[in-house]
Amino acid sequence: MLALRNTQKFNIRALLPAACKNVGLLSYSSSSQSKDDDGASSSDDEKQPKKQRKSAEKPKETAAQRLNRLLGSMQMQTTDQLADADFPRPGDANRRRREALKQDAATKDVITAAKNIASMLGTGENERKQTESELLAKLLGHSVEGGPDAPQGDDKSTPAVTAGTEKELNLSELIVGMKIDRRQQPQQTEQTRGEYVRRTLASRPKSRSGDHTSSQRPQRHIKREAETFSGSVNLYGGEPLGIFTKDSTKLLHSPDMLSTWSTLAERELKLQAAHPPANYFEQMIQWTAQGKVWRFPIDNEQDMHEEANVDFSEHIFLEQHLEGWCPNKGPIRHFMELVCVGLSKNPYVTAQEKKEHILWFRDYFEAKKDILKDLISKGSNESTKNVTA
Amino acid sequence: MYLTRQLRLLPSSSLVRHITSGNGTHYTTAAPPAAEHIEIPKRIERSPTDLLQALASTVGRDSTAPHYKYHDDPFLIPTSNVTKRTYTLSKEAGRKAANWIKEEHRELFMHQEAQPPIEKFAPSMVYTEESEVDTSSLQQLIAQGELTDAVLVYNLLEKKGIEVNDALKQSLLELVCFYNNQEPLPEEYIEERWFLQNSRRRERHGKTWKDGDLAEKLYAAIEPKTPQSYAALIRGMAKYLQCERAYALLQEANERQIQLDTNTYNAIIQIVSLLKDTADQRWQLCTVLLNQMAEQQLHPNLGTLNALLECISTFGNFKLARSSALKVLPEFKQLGVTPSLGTYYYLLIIFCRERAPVSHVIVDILNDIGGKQFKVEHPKDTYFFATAMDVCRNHLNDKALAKKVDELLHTGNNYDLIGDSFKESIYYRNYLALLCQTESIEDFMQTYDVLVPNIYIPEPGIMEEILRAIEINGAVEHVPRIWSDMVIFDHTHRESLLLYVLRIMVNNRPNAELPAQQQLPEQCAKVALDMYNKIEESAKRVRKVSFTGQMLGDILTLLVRSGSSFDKASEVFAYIDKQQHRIPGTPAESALSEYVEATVLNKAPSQALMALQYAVENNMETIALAKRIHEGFTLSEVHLAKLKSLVGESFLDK
Repeated sequence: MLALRNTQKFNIRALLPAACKNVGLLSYSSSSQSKDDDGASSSDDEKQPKKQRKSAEKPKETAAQRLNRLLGSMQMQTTDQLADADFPRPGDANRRRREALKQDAATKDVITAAKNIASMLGTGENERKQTESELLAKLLGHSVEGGPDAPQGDDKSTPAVTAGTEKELNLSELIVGMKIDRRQQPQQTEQTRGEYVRRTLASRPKSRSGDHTSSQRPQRHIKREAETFSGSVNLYGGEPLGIFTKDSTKLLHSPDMLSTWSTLAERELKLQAAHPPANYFEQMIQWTAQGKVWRFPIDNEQDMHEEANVDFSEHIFLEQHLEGWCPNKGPIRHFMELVCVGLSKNPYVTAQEKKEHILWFRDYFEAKKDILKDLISKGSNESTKNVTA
Repeated sequence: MYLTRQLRLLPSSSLVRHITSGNGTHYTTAAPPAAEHIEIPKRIERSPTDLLQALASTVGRDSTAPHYKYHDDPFLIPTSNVTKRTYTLSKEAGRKAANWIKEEHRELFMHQEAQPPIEKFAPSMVYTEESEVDTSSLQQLIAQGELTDAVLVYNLLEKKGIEVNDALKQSLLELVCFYNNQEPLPEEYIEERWFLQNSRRRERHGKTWKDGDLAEKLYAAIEPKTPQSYAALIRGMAKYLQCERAYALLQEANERQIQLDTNTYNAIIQIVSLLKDTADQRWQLCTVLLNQMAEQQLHPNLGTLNALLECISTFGNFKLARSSALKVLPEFKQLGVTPSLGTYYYLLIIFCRERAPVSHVIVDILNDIGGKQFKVEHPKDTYFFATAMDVCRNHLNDKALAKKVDELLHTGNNYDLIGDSFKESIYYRNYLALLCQTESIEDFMQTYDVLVPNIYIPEPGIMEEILRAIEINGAVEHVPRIWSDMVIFDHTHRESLLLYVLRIMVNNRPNAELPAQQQLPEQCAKVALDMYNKIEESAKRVRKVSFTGQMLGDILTLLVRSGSSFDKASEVFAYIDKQQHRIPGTPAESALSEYVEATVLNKAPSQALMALQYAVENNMETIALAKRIHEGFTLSEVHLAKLKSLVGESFLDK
């Protein structure tokens, strides 16, 4: 767009620092009527008064446009910079340098042209600077005059570019021309803000009506703040459900009717809270629970379920089982006493088994009674023979 | 060795206190008045593990030592999440292998070393088609919870025509329903369970109940139907999400006037959310079920409360959810049901939702339960801490609350309720992320030192948060420490993290005047060099990181800044220069100019010219460089000629 306008304007733009440059550009557009109307059409409600007193309205409009454009171009700039920084491409640096040089040259041209004009018009040092500043300010579009004056300003500036001698541009002189803007801007922003509020107010009811069902939805995005503190929740102070509390006295505690299920559930629950042992004691606890180590306190009779109720005397004093069948003396008695001693020292068999073992001998000797009698009598005969012999 | 060290550290007083605790009477050394009757306390029956538990409770967690489960050998201490998992599970795999040998070669283990014998070490019974079985062995198997063997024995008994009585059938039915006729993970494998649950969660959707399987056959075999058989089948179906049939069965039982129990109703209430679609319908069904319970005079219990809240937590309409939760709680309070941590977990997910206004219910919950000790009473109890910390971070972003939650976690044996490794890491992830956003960097680093690496190892995402906190605070002095952690945690293949570390070090130039930062340039250079070597090495690996110009530029800057590592810097620059067509991007211009500055200091004109040549070839700013080189050196003719050929004569004019 700028390229289509005359090059001088472009050059002037280039000479300015980033912030000013857009402002300058904008006031140019204010000079043409069509542009102005475009800007006005953006705010519908103000159209009527504007058409009546167009000239009065114009500076405000340009300022509004200016602001908008400034914002727009700032965004553009940042994205441009980002893109540059992100992807350094070969040859990029060179191109940038060349552009900068070109702009620099153009800037110098414009300034020198303005200086020349000024030196031609005025004689005194002050006068010259004044004119020069005005000219440049005109180029920037910061003149106090409204729309009708703008073409005039253009006329002035066009010849201004044709000649020139001086070198440096005084920044403060430029700022002289910008002062007016500062006066206007706050006014303008107020207006836009008012407009904004009005617009949002107008659009609110529409969006709200849809939101009523799921209330407070607009808050969602800003909710992470202390202001939305909803107060404490009274967990137990509410109205009870009233299903059980009506007559809670009648309720019976129902034990779990499934015993297997409840033990399994218990076990599962314990596993939920189980975690790898964190020290040796916990390791021991785990092993004890799994039955991999003896249980505390260490007891050498643990897990002896059958014998738990049998007194030790029944294990040790076994002669009682000899009563009634065993002869009081003789080899059988001797043999059986040895059996009893042996059994009483055996920890691996139960008392019942010991008794059964002894009784087996009883039956055995009973069955062999005749042979034994023969043998004993024969033996005693022989021994008496030996004695008599 | 570890154990003896711990034992020596035991405070003797606390040991005594623990042993006598639980005992109602107090022993005092002071002589009682003569007239007072001395009452000898009755002997207290202790379980085999009571003494051990008392001892274990005196051993706290030592944050400077690795967890007990890892091999006590510096070479074998895991330092990243992956190795932690690998080491633990391999240890468990070793246990499994040993078990397998024991089962496979049972003939080798017929001897019994211990006397009295330890049954666990005896070869286990193997039941085959030919085994001689009777009902007593079935009973024993059911008591042990051996599902597969119990089913096998039951089938054998049936084949042989041995009558199994109804009570035993009922027990078997319960067993089969509880496990859905699938062998559960043996309870011994505690590590596997510890790491398993994050993968298991996925399958909790959709029905897994085996229709027409053994459970239903057993149920059919029990005649006449008892309340127990109904209850078992209903609970089994509800547990494995055969919702429609479970509910139908409940209705059938009600029609036949069969009295069920509370836990069966709880099972149905738990699946209400799958039976009905909208919140109103669900709530209606809940009240219907509760009324039925009241009619049958069933006293609701904790399970009922939690099942109700679980159902409420599925309501899409959060207003209804909140109001009904606030109706349920006082009801159960009046009934004398004490909530468990699971109850509070449900409250948190009911009140603190992403799509609802912020709720500070956690404040009230913590006021309610602060300082209390909890035991596991409900399967969802283990979800509380992870969720509470999540709420603290993502919902409220409140540091003070997070500290309170952490305090509660470390009260008594509450740490048992952290759940599994997955939930534990979620908990600490949220805790650390919250702290590094809200606390000053010094305070945060204290917590970091306690938790990392033995209790928790930050994931790369959390590492990035930590780096962000360091960047914001400009606390570059912590970077070397964090970098060494990143190396051992195996984060060095994350390009974003590498760039972040470099950026922090480059942007925060250490202030040499502060005594704390005097060593920093050296350390930063070491970090940079380490990173350079790591990236070079990684080229051979699968997950490789490739250099970018930016990265190399930063490394170069850091090396240059340290002063003593100029040779290394030249090496890195030579690499940049040689590989410039492979490396995407170029180093920052500031990196080059700092390098040129260093060449001036180290009197290395040829390196300086190399840098300039690189700058020219890559269209970077050259005039300043050329000027600097021209001023910094008294250049020989050859060098001067080269300089001119590179940038022309422009550097000569001042």
